[in-house]
Amino acid sequence: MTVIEVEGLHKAYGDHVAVEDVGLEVRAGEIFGLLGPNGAGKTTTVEILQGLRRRGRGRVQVLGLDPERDGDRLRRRIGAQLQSSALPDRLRVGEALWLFARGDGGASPEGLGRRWGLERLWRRPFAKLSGGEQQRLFIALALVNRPELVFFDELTTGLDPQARRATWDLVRRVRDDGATVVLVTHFMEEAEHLCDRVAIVDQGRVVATGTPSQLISRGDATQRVSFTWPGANAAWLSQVDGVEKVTRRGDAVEVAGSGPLAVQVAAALARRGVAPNDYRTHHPDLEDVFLALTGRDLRA
Amino acid sequence: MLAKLTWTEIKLGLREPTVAVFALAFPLILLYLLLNSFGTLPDPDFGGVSPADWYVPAYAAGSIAATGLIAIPVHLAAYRERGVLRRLRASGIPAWPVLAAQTLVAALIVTVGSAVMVALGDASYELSTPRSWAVVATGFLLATATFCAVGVALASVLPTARAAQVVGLLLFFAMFFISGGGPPEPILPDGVATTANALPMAYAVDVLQQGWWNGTWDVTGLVVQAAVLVAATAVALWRLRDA
Repeated sequence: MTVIEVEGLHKAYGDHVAVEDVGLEVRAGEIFGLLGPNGAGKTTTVEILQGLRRRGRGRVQVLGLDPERDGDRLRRRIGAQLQSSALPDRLRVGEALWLFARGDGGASPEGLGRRWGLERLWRRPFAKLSGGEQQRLFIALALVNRPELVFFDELTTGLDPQARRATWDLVRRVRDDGATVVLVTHFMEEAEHLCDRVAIVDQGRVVATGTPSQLISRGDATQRVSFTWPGANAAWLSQVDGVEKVTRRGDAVEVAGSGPLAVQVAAALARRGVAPNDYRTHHPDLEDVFLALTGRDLRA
Repeated sequence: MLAKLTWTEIKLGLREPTVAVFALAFPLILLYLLLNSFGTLPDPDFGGVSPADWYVPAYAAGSIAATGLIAIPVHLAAYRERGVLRRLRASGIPAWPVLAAQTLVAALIVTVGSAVMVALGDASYELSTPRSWAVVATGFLLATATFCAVGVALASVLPTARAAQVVGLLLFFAMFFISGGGPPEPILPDGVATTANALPMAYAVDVLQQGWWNGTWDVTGLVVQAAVLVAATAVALWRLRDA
């Protein structure tokens, strides 16, 4: 079942084009990632999906509703953690959960507090929470009315690696409870570990969509194998299927290419009776995929 | 939702009472000083009424203006600046109950403040009983609604809490001392009185004073405030439609 359908979405602020042309399809029960560098148009896109911004052009359907026309009705069925938002400094954790809970069949504030480990912080003001604690509160608030669809925008930015991994577990629990999750992130690692499917966004366009492993094995990204071989001449390696480049530094050889490169090179070495004991393959990750698709480094 | 938000705002207000205390204490302290200086006898400079009968209604309007022009814009602009309104809206809580809760809390503050001023005037300064409670109550509610709407409109136009604070204070002081909070209108120079009549607080004062002294409806004052109320509400609605 499709939860979100977007076609030809375009949004500009004056001369500045924030979203050029975005198309997406999010299915029920998955964690869907919008991955791309800062300024790629991810946040604008999800804010349009929540009806928090008007779109320029394009067709958008979320839970069967048009977010622009039925914004209030839609927002009663979704949960959200926004990238730049806050609560009043002196609002306490328990009060925030009580305030956001509509009480029509949603979770009880106390139950949610227990579930997300907030009981200890129940009377603590928002301003006194650590970054990780604030994010846990925002997740709990996003879930307080049992939404069918949840948006998380840069949920783990500013968290240390340990808190980040703990937050990933929380997001998986949200999905396992039956909600669909849309996750906006600029962390490759996060998308790779957490998302069932990913759309790579660059300069306001979706440049590729698929599961992380589909994207990685599309073949756009370069694969590499390396090993030590004191042999005189390695030029013959460039005749092997899929090999694009052979580099030697002393005895260290590195072969770059695409397709099932590791198997081809290993077989060619075996045919020559060469058996290096440090034969290593370097699989591309989403970072390499991004580089291959856009010609730019994600971190740049 | 409105009840929840209002209760939450009251609790937050009690935890950080600085602005509300200013809006309450500033008019009250000034009123006390003025009443002590001018005594209790009716005076032609006060249009023939006692200083308390002049100043208590004027300072009730003053505390309404202070709350509407300073407390509300600072609070709401901070909410807007920090993304609190967006946060609430994304969770299905639209802007209007947030603004309505603010207005209710403001009404509560000015009611308490005005009650204290009336008690002070009544206890020691021969404040008379209003001729028409209906006119005074209507004037009080209309002024509260008008200045709260102006405050919300200011918050919707100004980008930051700091800007809201500066503009709110300027607007408040610009009208407060010439609209009944300072020297009484009968002894104001013509030019100053004309300026005061271009600003909304003078009309709030007129309605309250006429109702208090004569029990009559000051129609001009009611109409001008209603017009400001409508204009400010329109600006706020238009500006906050996507907030």
